[in-house]
Amino acid sequence: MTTACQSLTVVVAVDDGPACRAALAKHRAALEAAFAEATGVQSACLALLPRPFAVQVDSLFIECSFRGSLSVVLGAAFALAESEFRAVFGCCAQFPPFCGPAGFAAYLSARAKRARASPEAGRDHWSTWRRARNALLARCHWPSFGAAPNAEDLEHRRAAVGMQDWQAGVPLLHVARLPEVALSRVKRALRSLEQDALLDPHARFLLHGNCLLFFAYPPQIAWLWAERVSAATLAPLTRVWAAVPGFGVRPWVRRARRARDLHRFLLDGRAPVDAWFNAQAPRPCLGSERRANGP
Amino acid sequence: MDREDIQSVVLAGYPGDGQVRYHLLTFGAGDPRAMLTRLLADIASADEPAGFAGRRQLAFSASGLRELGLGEPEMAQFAREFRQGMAHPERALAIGDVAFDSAEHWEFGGPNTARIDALWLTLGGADTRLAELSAPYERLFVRFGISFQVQDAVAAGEPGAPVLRRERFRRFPLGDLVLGEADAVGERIAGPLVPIKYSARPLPAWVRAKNAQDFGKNGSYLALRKVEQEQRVRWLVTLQTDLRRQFEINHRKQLRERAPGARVRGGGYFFLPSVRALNYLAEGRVR
Repeated sequence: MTTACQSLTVVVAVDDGPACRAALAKHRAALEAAFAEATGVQSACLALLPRPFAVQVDSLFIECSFRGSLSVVLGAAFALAESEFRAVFGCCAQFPPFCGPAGFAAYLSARAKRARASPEAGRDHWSTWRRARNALLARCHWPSFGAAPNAEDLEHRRAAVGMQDWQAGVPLLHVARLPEVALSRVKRALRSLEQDALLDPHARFLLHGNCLLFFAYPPQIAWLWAERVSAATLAPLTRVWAAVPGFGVRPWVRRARRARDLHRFLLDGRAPVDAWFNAQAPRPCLGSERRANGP
Repeated sequence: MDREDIQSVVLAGYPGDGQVRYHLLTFGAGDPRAMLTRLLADIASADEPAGFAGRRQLAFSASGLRELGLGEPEMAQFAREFRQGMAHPERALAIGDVAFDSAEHWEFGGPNTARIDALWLTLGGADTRLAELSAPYERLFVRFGISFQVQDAVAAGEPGAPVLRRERFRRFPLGDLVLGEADAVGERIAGPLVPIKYSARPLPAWVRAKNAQDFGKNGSYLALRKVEQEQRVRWLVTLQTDLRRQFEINHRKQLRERAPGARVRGGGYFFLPSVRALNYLAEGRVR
């Protein structure tokens, strides 16, 4: 009997952002290898959230989908790359310096946050009604034209995710900052999303302060996946992000164009991931590609 | 649609069974603006008949536009793929140019070869003597201090003329080919916007289109690749407005799946400006 896949999502405050970034860059390969070798890990991702979005301090985002016991899986990963995990999490707030695998699992599970996803199961009796309601509500917003993203910041982010963009299976992590007045509206939209099997079940939303995170493990390149998701789940996603400054989806234009605007918003708000593992999409190594191409 | 303003190859395509000569120009210490002023009258636009021998077209790479005076605020409005160029590591990963296809091994357009600033295309029929037609232009390039390399190709499989009217009420989305026109979802790509008059100050980010010249309007992007497969050379040419969607993703799929043994020998992204934009560059109304 196979056990159900569970997910752990954590955002921890980082005391020393540059040191954490440096440690992630240095130990990336070892961390990814540890997640790959630890039994039960389906996907994992570590990312330092970009400063303008994080509340006041740098934050480290950790997501891990696994089968089995949390303490066993995290403990196994920690044991495989103990010094590397210590180097990264040593920069995080309240990380116990002398903890073992059990302590590491306890540290993360104590800070776990609830991520909201669309259910995997089929439709219910009220599905059509909900869809119609969603479609109507998705048009009840005014796009924020004034708050265009800073071109330099946008270029910087594009450059950061650009090198990962081509690879299938790279986690798509989207970060958006919400105005405080919009929090209840976003929560309502997320609750509605949880009721219907609309979105890819592996895609999740997380509210962290006034920061809205969206992450997924696309089986194809993120660009294509985002295009498909934008077209297929336009209304519920529009409802969720409608209050985000810079969300330029105009309710009065035709559907295909709204989907393209949403696609653009999704890609432009991406944050690069620092270390990741996805069992569904094994990473091709350049060596094998070279062999396949021949001399 | 302003056919007079669009370069001929965008709407008329390549000659079906003809020849093409590519002059890959490097401006170096030459005088590209004087050369452009001289060439302007010879560039064919889309309102001219497509059948005549020796249609000539001019496209620029990002470095060429910078050499001609476009500043960083203007360049930032071009497509990211175009600005980076095909040999950039990020683009190489996106298209799949790794290992033996990587830009280090290319004959042109790579980091180990001369920088390409512009592309001068001469399109002719099967019996056109391109060498004879190109000779005066090659003398011209030398006169203005522009160095060049010549690549000859047989037009086969390159973009033909798009069918602009498919059925009644169903038109070709011209915006997929020409900047500033409506594409399949009704979106018009505006810009890059450039100052109408000479000014030392850069345009503010919020400038309105009516207060600036739409440099990109009626232009198009051209992706050029030289691919070698089983001793045969193929030239892959794509004219599109969205390089990422319409070229990189499709090309990667085509090259890897349909032609597994193909080796990339060179390539580059170019911008085919409108006639109005070419005039703008030639007049020197840029910083």
